[in-house]
Amino acid sequence: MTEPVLALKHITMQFGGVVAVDNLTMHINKDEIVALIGPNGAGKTTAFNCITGVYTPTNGQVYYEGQLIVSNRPEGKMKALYAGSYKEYPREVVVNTPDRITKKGVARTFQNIRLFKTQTVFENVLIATHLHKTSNLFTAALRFNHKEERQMREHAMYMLEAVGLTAMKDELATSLPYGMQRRLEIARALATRPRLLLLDEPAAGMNPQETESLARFIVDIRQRFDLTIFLIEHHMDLVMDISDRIYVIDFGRQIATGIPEEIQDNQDVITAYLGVYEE
Amino acid sequence: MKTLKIVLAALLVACAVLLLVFSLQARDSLPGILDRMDPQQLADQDTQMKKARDRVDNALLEGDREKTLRSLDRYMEGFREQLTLDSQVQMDLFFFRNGPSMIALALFLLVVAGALVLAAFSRRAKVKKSALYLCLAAAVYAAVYILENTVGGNSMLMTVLKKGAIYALIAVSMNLLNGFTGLFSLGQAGFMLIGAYTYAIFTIETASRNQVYQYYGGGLVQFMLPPLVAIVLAGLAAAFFAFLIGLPVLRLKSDYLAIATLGFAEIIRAVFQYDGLGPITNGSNLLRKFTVFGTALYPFVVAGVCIALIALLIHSTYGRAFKAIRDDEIAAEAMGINLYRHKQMAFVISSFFAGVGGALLAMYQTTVQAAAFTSAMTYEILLIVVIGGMGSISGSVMASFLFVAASEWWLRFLDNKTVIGSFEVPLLRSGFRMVAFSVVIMLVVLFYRQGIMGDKELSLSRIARRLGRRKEGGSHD
Repeated sequence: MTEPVLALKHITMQFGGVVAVDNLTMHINKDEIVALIGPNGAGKTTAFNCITGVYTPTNGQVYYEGQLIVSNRPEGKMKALYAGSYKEYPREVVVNTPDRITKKGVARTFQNIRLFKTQTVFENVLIATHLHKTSNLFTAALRFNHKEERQMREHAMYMLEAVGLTAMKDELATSLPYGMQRRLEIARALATRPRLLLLDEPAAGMNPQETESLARFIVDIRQRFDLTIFLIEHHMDLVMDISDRIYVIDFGRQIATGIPEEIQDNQDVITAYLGVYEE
Repeated sequence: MKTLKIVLAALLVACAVLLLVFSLQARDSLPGILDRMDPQQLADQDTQMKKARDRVDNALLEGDREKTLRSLDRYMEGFREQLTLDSQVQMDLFFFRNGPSMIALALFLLVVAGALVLAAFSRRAKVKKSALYLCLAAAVYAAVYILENTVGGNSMLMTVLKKGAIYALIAVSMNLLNGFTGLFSLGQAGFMLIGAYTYAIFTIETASRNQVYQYYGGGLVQFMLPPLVAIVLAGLAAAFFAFLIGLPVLRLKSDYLAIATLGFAEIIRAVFQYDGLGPITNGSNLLRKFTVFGTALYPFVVAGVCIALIALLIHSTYGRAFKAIRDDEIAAEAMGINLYRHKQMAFVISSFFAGVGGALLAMYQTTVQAAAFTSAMTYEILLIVVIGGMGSISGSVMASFLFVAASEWWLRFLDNKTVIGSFEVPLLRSGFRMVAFSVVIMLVVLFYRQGIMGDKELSLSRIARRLGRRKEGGSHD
């Protein structure tokens, strides 16, 4: 078996006394589209934030392409407070900031769109090419890096073309319609040249047609940019349509995993989403 | 279009060469002009006339331009009847009087001609744009030079221009941090103080050190650096302090930065007046007798170069990263931008240029005292940034000239008691200027929060578009 692109081992995230994610273990193989679903407040975005370094998990480890990128154990006050179900702690402590994790090749989008509001569509994408710069402050300010600068611009244009936003490149990012803003956010994430793309509710607020076209788009970029995709989504049509595998969590715990057909018939999942009818 | 540009450039070059030849000739030929003015050799017969003419000759020998011109005026005023001024003499006199301005004008014309040729032959829009920038800068410098030589270096206009240029640099440096990176810092006066002191300490004449440091046995530093080296050193000293403060503070949210930098500015002001540091900082006494600039061009050139560097930085990939941090820290970090490193960069660079600005301010004031660098000074700079527009370099530049002109010049009348007939205008008294000024500022902040420029830049292309024509262009200064 080949190395999974992303592997979570016993990830537990506890805020004060609340365990938001409890003992989440999962893996994503190369070229897969994997979905993480669950009712509101199940801890999906928290799991994302643990992977991308926004939060440091209370306990557990994250491997990316076989490399340990996040590892932590309960320390200090948390030692006594710790309420996760998995009680074994890793020895190493590895903490990475989001920018370092992005540099390793993991890009993400946000649930509530976070574009650079005062900048144009083109500039939004251009900023994402900054992390691969080789110029320093002086060579950049004195324009000795014009070759690199041109490559950055070309790369940004290529990304805009890939998501079909070339015509709007000089518009203010926030003046785009909602669906376009989502696409722009994906283009921006792609401009960091990731190998793993994390999409946090890419179809939120979209109508059925837009969702349908987004599904084609995601499958398309996976092929075109040789990506592995991990997404959180509420639109079941989209999830069932494009995912290779699905993880379901509720109250922070994993309740099911499998291919879409298995999940559709899983009694626990149905209960989690619809509740139990009590006589 | 191309031929037109080249012909125009050739004409300009011809004009420039003519101007240069005339003014260079006129410089050494005053005795000849005087002789031609006075064809009958009247001066030799009239003692008074002779005396006046000798005065001109002596002043010329001494090489004192101002004095020469003054005695020449007196000579011509007194003996207008006897002297004949044909057109040739008049022209020569004109070039003698305005020699330096004419040379400046000629150089300006040459730069414009060069830019025109560049614009004519280059196919790249960027080169054309830079050529236009060059023209604009040349025009500004030529204007300053000519103004200085016509209205005089000590006039109110030149004072305002000099201080305005220095404040423009400091305001732009603050804008880099507050407007472009979104970090709210209130330490500008502290960094200016460090810059001003560093500059002053290293450029006091060695001979006058005993006099300046009279209470501290001549001081510790016993050598003198060239002004430009000292200016760079002033910037570096300010940048170093910024780096130290940034180490802990920039890891926190930006509100703490404002508090920490404000505190730093206040502390540094006290520390520099501390008696124990006297051999270096001269305690709470003035530092004086250091090298100052002779012409208004000096602050204009230094500030212009620094502002151009900041503008280049802001339009580079690092500047885009700064703006990304301002717009959304979380998204910027997710795009692989190291928040701490980039904030540190912006903070250090901003402080470097504040230090350079402080050094220029020291030169402008000719004396330095730590007590003057109060937090009120920071607020002045902050106001300029707000009035000009957060995130607009050209806005800051315009606002600083406006601000300095208003506070030093235009609103002065409010400080004087004014009596019209027997009616004494109420409220006008010493200090009322600041009241009126505060009201103006409050109005701006309340009703015109975007400032003059918002976050836009003034550019030739924008102006051209306004006028309904498409044209290549660049931004101001």
